[in-house]
Amino acid sequence: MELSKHLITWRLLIVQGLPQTLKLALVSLALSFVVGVLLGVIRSRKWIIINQILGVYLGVIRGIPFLLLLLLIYFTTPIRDIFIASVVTLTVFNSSYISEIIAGGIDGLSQGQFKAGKSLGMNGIEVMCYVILPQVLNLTMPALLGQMVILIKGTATCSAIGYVEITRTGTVAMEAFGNPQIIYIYVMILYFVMCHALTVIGRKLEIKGKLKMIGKA
Amino acid sequence: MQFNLKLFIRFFPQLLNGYFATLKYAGVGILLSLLFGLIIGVVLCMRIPVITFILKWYIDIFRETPLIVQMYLLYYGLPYMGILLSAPVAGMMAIILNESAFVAEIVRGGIESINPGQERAALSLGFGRVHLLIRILLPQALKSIYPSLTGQASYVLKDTSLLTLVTIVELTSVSRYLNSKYLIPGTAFIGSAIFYVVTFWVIQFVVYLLQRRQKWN
Repeated sequence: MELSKHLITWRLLIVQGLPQTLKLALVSLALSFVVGVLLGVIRSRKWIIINQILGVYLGVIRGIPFLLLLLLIYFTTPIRDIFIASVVTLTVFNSSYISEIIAGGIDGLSQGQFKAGKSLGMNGIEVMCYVILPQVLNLTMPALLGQMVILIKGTATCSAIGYVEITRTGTVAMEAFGNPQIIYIYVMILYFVMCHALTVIGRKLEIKGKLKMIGKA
Repeated sequence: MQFNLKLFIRFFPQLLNGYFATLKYAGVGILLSLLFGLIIGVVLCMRIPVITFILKWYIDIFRETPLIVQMYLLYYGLPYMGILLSAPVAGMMAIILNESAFVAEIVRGGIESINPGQERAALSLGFGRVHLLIRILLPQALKSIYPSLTGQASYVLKDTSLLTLVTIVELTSVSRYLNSKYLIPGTAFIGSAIFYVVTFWVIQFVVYLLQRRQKWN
């Protein structure tokens, strides 16, 4: 492969692919975070019937492979836009994991936090927003960043229904220039840079959290 | 476009065939990725200078790039480098390389979390590094990490759905085929989702039983 083709491939990947991947990742990240936190809070409340229904829903969503969920949502619901179908799938899939992380974090906090909030005259929602959630988000940040990595990797699968992002752009470049071994390594480099940055931040936060716990920061 | 029980029963044998193929791939994938993951995890803990460096990069690269891109790289790229593999071999290679990286990380974490006193006691009794890891540290680590390992098994099951993108016939491919031939997205995709969810729940139930037994002990 000549140098000009390498350059064209990089240009395609960065100008065409990267913004689309980032758009998809950011929109579905924001949505799945909101939905996940809501579901997590509801799940930690342990209302009998709602908790059972949520448990079954989460069990089903987690049992279905991401690709099948994508096809399911794209073909059986009235959603006909590829971008919206991808966003909905990523949100449904990742919010189920985020809700588990948040519910686990809330369960991990001591009951005294709730009681202290109540004794200061806050109502349930205020206690959640001002006392519980800030602590939980701090504690679970490494796990949430890990989920972000999974979300970014999930956007690659959205190329299967024809959403044009980095992977799809790579396939297009491959069809034009051949040499898939080089082009897919370029694609991997782009994903690796994005995901590794998040992982490194996660590791740093984890160490910081541990230091905080033993009172050294 | 809704789920239709009559159609589901009519196409049940085809879906079942696809399901058996999925089980076959998942079984091979789980066994081999567990094996390689354990080996890599143990070798990683021996702290051999160059090998540890290489393995760390291998784990980072395969954990932080999408499986689908790895699959494309092996499936489309290897023939260009003169290595001709059949589609199932290339696809399974991608899954096994990906999952053993995750398993190796879990094993490493498990071994490193063991009390260092164990290591010193074994060394003072005259154990070599290899014996120490295999006889003393690994058995103890396995006890604490097997829930994550069985969780990884269900990830392998779900990963096999991506094999459909490299032309391998399994459950997701069968449902895609049924959908494109008879235009029955509801029945085809929800039907195969039922297979996946039931299998996932069986795995979860086995994990639950194992955990309960461990608590009894």
